[in-house]
Amino acid sequence: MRLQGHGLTAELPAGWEGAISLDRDEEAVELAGIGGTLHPVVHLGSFPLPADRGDFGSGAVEVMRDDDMFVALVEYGPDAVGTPLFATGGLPRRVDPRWFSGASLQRAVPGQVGWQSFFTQGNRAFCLYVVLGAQGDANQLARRVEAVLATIEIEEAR
Amino acid sequence: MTAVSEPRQSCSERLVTRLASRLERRGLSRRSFLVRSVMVGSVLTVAPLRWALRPTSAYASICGEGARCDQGWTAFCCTINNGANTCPPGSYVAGWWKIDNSPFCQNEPRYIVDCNRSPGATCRCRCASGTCDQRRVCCNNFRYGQCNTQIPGVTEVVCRVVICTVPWRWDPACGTSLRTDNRTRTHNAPCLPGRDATPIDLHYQDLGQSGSLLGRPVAAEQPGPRSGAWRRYERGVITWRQATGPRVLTDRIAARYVGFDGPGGALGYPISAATEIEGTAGRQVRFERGRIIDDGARSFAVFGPALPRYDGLGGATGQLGFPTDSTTPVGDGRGSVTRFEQGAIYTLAGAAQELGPTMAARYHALGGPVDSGLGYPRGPADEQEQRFAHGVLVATDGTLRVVRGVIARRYLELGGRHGPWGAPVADQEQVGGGWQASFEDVSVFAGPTTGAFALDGAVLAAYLDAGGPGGALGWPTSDRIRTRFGHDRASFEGGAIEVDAATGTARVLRRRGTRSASELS
Repeated sequence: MRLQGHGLTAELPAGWEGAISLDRDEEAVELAGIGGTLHPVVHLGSFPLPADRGDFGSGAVEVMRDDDMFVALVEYGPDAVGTPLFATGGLPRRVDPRWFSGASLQRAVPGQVGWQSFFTQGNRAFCLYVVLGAQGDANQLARRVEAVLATIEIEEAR
Repeated sequence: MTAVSEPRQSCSERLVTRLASRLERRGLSRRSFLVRSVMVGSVLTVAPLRWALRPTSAYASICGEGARCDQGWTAFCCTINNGANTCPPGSYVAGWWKIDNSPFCQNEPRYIVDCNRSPGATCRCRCASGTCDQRRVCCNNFRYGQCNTQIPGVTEVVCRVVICTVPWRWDPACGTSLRTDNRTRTHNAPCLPGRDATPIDLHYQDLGQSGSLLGRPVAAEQPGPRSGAWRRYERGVITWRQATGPRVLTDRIAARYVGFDGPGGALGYPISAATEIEGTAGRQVRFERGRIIDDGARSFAVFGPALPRYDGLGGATGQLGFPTDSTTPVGDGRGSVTRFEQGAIYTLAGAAQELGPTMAARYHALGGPVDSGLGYPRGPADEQEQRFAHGVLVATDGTLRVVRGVIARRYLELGGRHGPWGAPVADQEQVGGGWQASFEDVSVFAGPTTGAFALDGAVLAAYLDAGGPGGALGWPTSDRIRTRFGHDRASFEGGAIEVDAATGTARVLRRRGTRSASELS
């Protein structure tokens, strides 16, 4: 299945779910009226994604099994482009299982490991956040995540 | 590798846990417990229905979900930072997310701000302890990434700050990219405002609570006029009104405001923030009915009709300078006085009149409007000759002389110090039941019923020789005049004095009724 929207594209392997969303609820629109900026979030999971999810996957990671993976690609505003935090160039395509840690999670969930990378691509700033269901399978899961990351395309900022 | 200790319950937490489980063993429902017990009051105050009806612990009602250390979330900063809702030393604001329609922010968005370990600082992964917020401290190596993007990399989240103000206004180092996690909707701590928080509570929270300039609360929130409110803290005050929102006063200005009884007092609610007074070390805050002005060392309140007059004279950078006392009622209950570095303003019946520094000092030393006998000043301000309702102060050779009552009235009618009497050379004195005042060219006498009359030269000398007002002649009833025969003459209650212009001989002419028996023989 192919996901497309907001200048982002991803091809989902069989059994994966995903969404490219932009928070457009009433409060977000109101906040946009006083300076807040809305930017898309891509969620990809090897498991059924619950409807109520935080931008970094809370609500989803709690229902992951050991062999599941969760990927969040979160965009930031133009003010972030090129700053030291986002200095890395390009979406990581290779994922080293040694980068993952149980400490690198927004919320520590027993057994799970995570990894986070901020980068700039196409004059757009992003954070890639990946959660693996279990560290024991990190090698295999990381390869599968790489396969998904390989399908992601980011258009140049307009 | 860092170690995470097991969460420990406080004494009160253990008590609640034991009570709840004991009651449940006895077959009492949580509802029964609620009805029968007044314990764990804060829990029941905050969320009694929820605690009674839902299968959740009492602490979940205060701290929300995921409050145990092993549930993976990061603790709130106020839990580990002595009540301060601020990033502790060695951490920085690294990112934030919002929670929509939060009951903790009066159904507006609530923002959770991560404080991440600063590069180069150290901290130990542990569980928060001592409250029901037993979440993790300095464990989760994660970054939301909207703030301080000049700092590269990801470090541990030390703790979380809570605000109801949009983060990019709360801290300009934060970007505007909206991120949301409504799954954290119930997260809270006892050191943060609850669902019943007032606008003042929330503003205090956003300022950092005990980590703010205000310090800790020293009194409960008080209601104010027109459905407003205010609260006092160690080093300041927060006021709130629907029309203006919260306002913060700090330090001396706040202390002065408290001294004037806050919004219910003479000043009313603040209507501005503290603003610098250009070209000085001073600052000021405007209120509904006045102003507090701080010169950098002292704060005083100026209000009522004195304030527009003060502003009209240039305020703190004008001729009066900074106030040296607050506007104070005069003892007669009719007017007010405000003293300044370079003078004073007196008010009466809505009118205000300033005095220059010399006049103000002398007038104050004489006792002001009541005790000086001069009454309130009348314009215009004049450092040489200042008029008052019942007198005048006149500068003569560097000294201010006071002239009152009928003598002052006549003096002014005749042209003041430029008139025929010249300037006064001494303060007016009480003599018997009347008054005497010495001027450059005359002496003036005013009896209780006679009016004020000026004598000079040989007539004056003869009058004084005859005993003056206390003598047989009594008080003058005319000025010294030149008759058509060329004589100088003045009339008195008991007669007259006439001076021969040619010889200079003075004759005292006594009324018959005032002569003694030997004089009549």
